[in-house]
Amino acid sequence: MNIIINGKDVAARKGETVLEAALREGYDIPHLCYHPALKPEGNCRLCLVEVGGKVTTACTTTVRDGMVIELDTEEVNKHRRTVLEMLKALVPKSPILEELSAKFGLGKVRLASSDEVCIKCGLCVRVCAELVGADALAQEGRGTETFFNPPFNEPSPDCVGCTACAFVCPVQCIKYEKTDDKITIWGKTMDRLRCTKCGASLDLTAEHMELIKKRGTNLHPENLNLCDTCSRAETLRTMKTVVESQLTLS
Amino acid sequence: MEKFKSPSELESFVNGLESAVDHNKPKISVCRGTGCIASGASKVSAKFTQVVKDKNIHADVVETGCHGFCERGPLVVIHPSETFYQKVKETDVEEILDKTLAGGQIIPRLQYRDEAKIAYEKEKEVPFYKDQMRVVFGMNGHIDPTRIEDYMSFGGYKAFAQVITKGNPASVIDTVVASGLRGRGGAGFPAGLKWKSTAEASGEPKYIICNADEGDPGAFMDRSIMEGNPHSVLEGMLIGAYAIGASIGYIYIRNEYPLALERLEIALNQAREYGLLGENILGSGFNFDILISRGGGAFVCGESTALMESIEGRVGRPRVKWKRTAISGLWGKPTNINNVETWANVPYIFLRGVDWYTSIGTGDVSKSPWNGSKGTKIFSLVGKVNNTGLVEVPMGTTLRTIVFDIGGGIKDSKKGRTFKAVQTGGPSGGCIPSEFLDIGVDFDELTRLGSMMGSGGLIVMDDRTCMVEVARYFVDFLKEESCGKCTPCREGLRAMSNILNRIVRGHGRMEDLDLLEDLATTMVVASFCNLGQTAANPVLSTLKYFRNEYIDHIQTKTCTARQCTELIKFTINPETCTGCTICARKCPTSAISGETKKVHVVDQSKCVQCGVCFDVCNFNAVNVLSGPEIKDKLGV
Repeated sequence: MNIIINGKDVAARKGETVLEAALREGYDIPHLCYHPALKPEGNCRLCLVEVGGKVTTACTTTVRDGMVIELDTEEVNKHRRTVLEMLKALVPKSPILEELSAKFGLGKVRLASSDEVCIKCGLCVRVCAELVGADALAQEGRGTETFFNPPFNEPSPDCVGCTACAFVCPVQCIKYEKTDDKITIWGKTMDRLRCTKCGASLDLTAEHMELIKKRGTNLHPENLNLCDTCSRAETLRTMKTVVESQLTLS
Repeated sequence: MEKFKSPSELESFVNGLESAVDHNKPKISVCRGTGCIASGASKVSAKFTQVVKDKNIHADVVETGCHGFCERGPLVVIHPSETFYQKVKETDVEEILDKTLAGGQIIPRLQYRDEAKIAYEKEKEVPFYKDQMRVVFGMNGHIDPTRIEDYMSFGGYKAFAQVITKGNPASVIDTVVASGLRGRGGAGFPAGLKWKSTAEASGEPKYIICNADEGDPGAFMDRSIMEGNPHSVLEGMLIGAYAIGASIGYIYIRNEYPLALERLEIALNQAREYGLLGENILGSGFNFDILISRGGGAFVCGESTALMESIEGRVGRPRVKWKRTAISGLWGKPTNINNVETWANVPYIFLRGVDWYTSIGTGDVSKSPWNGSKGTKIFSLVGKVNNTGLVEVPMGTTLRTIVFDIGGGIKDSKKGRTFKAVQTGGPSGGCIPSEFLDIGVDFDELTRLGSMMGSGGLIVMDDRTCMVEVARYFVDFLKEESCGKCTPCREGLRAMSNILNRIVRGHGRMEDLDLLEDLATTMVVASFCNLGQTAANPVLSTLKYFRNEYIDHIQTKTCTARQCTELIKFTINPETCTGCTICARKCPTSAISGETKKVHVVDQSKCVQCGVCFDVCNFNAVNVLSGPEIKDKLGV
């Protein structure tokens, strides 16, 4: 099907969102709480666009054939700037918010600063539950008292130290510490496994390994215990064996 | 008791109960709604029951649901004379039985008197009731909500029996569409159209939900319906479920409504015992049951998707509606949600007919239910009016009738208080000023004025109500109740709260007004759910109609209404003060000094601006200064 973005015909796939189609086709729509691997939640409200003359979020709008989408109308820019201003008042020292402000012409923030570090987009909770499958994080409180933590803000028995939460955080406010043999995140310290071939420390904890095995994986189980270098070498060796055996056969 | 095996069996049973009612038998109906219970109605009704039994008096004592005039409770009505008594105490019981019931005499002490001290004898003559049209509340003063037979004796469940007899679900939906019934929960979406979408959607099972998460401050109409006539809600849901093809219904009710919960549970069990819920209802093959889901009392759970999240066992936060609730709602199945009052309207549409229903209200719905507002609406009338309580009026009744006739006008009008505005629609609604008093209240008129019907809260404000403070109050309420999911609602409310708190303290800046408008318009457009999209209404409507008050607070530090404590000072006028000492005696901080028959003086260093002296002074001798007057008169 086709949608019309800023007056141009753009190919779109059935079932995808306006944001997905636009990003794939190279259009730039600011977004913070969207991640291609996760279900859209529509939390940050930055990806505003005009659909058929009505301002709405691109990440929660499914494409329809012939849909008319405008990305840069005066309305869109005005509301996007105000949402950005709200976020900047919430988290004043964030490089990505600075960058977006410059891009969309947001001047001085007129709102009182909250001096927080988290923009409350909820990506951390979603990646932990939906993708990692640990479900170790939760939204605590509500309204302006919303925080994202392991329950009760205590080290969680469910956290596997994968650091996916820190990786997806758009404002990089989730901190963790990594030493040669330990990883500490959300107040919990876990041991890093070592490569069974070369002994290098892995970005993988015993807890995470257990979870991966429990949930199943596409990776070759024997490769899980290897570092990147050894894993590649191992794969190459396997491939070679396969290819050689094929050649011998033919 | 036997389960009914056919609709005709049910109908003849109901007819039997209806004709067995002896309308001449004396009946003492004692209101036992939450309000009256709080003022002691349980003792009153227990005493009536006991004395009637002990003395073998030929009369029935009925413990009914809410009569609406809660501020005058406990309320007692003696039938068939309809004698209306208010603020009845346990000690009045024997006198009522002796004098009124046996002797036909009126006890003046217990009569309702209006502001002009005129006494009224019958319930329907009392100004509070005179202009009301009690349909949904019609049985409230007559039936015991814990007895299904009482409901049936007024024709209850007959509408359902007739619907089953007819056996045509599609025609049920057509009837509801033709009636023009629109959702009483706030948005005013035509109920029939919603039912139709759910009926036509594919997927099993289908669900219906009764939204009883009433959360507006001061609004309690849904609670009173459930407490006073739970079976009307159940019958509405039964008819809806049959039309839609739903097999499970949920009543989502906040746990803060213990009495409503208790009475709903009793009603559900009675309906099951009679075979009105369960399998093969009335031998028709229709299976349906209703479950109760108790909520924790979050305002946002009244939003349909948050409500469904909560029923499904998650935190009540709105979710993305990829498809309409009618197609994919509770657990991804076709779902129809209506408010308590909407469901309770349904039986009457069938019992009395579409022509009767459409004769009430505004507009012409013969082509589309969107073209009018039909039936009655229950309002929770509170604030600075003489008569507060629950008021049921035809759609289109003017605000003037509601406030001045039913509400009895502005409280303390003798002291010079005048009407300023009425806030409709709860925290998400707006304030309507006096120039619109003569508009007829319906869904479309209120929206046009920048407010909304909401669930039907009406808060009356007088000249001493500061509109900036009103906006601040509602914004702070919503800030607490925002779920925190989306940026505009969470951060917009935080920012608006900061600004409004600054303005009421006299630290506002003129550019704050533009800022408030910027924030508000973005919240309307960019918020995720209806809570955020409407949260700016109190600010937008007060800015629209009462902008001068904002400007006065900012430019001259004047609170026009003399309410914002940090901007006012109390002084006593030496020329009118009689030295009666009442202000000095009532002052909680002993800030007022003066001898009997001598002029009193306020010590500004001790005064906390509570306003008690102003309220108690009978000689209008307390002046409230604000803005430049403070410097002029007090030199500070």
